[in-house]
Amino acid sequence: MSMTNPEDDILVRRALQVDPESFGQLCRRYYSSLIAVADSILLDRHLAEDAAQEALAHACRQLPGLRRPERFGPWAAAICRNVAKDMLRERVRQRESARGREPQGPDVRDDAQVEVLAEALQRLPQHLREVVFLRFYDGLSYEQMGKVLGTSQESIDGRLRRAKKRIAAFLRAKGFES
Amino acid sequence: MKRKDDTDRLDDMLAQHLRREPAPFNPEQWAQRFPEEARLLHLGFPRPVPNRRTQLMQIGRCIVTSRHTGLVGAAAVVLMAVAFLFPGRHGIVPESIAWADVQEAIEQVHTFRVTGTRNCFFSQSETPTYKMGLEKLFSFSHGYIDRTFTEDGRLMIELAYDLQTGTVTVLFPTRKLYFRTQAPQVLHEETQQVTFREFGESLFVSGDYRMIGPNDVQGIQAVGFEISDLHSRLKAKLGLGGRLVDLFFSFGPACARMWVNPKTCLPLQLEAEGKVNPCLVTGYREMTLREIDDRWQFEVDLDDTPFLPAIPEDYQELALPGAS
Repeated sequence: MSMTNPEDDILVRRALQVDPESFGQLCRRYYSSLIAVADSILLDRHLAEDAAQEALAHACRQLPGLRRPERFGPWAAAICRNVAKDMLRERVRQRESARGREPQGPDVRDDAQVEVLAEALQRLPQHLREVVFLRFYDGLSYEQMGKVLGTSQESIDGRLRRAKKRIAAFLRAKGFES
Repeated sequence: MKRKDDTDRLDDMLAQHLRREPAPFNPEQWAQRFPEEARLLHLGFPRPVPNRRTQLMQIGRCIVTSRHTGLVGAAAVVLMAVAFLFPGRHGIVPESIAWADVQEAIEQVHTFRVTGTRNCFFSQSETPTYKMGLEKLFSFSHGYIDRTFTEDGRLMIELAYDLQTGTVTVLFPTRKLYFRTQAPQVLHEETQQVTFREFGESLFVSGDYRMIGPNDVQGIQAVGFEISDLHSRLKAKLGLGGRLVDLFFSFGPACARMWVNPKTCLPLQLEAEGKVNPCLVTGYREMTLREIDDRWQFEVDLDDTPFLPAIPEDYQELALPGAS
């Protein structure tokens, strides 16, 4: 069963009736999660913040067309994914033309195990990396994650377990115990 | 207990590695960066003008440009087996995020399994010369498998594409033959990056496509999308038609029709029909191929599926005549 948020329904309707504070509440509610979603694609916190803000701007423009206001969270997350993917493509193009830097991993540290963990995360399929970021980035509960991803807690649990299984296998293959 | 300890330790590592300070949303800063949007919030949104035709087209565009139905486009292309694996750089209609509310339902699907029928006609008769079953497994992150079965369920041909390594493997279990090749590096990189949304868009919503229906398909009033020039699209837009592909599976004029459930925006049925020129797969005869993919399962677990299958020791390598 998909997770929805009845409060979002009210906030979206109010925002459409010229109540900027309601849209502000929606932004505050999801901003951090949107950053996590974008960061799982871009692997760059600062770009992820830009992507989240841009996604909210798109969401604002498209708000009158949102057919299921109670699903604002998953809708905004879908927009954010698209924005982040666009930014990633743009960055790849720029990198190719400049032959510049490699993509940044999340907080590269000296610790070899941490570097391997970063590599393991980069190797995850995007949809699995996304749940890991949402879970550990901001410490979201399954219920909160469900409201962002629009999917059931069982599905989230399954994805998270698959992701961790892969990370653990990668760490083992590199000689680290998880 | 060790298992639980391991899990806890991994959780700790991930938390330590990924935990960030909560990022507060700053409305003033956002409003400065997006003044038009801030103005909308303060002055009100323009009233949307309902237009049934436009809405239908928009929904249709969303459906056919979604990543998932792009996979359906890919599925149609895989009628041509390895042909799918050799696209070139193709023109893409600019990406739209306006229909993310519908896309969002589809974005959650990362794997699917589809089964159906694949019939071969070697004459004008309405009765197929060979009736076959098919199974397609697609994982957005792992790759693609296409299996063709005899009517009594024996595996005839298995084509696997491993996205990680760019390896194409074709197994012919009934004849104990195999063919394995590596996708060109450029292509491999492209297949890892290209979204199926883009792929589907280039196949189904560019050029002269037609929306059809709604028609009753499996008891559902489905919306259809039809193209009658699949072959030329593939040649023109995907750079398809290399010599190796033609030797193996030479696809001729073809049309494809995709039926979508408008309530779920998910594919319901894909129908494709096309000529296959004399080539290895047809025994060097002309053939008509008619395929119907009508049973779809989404979000199946394909983690242990061999996209890079081991080749049995008693298999011999298939030599493509004239391929060298």
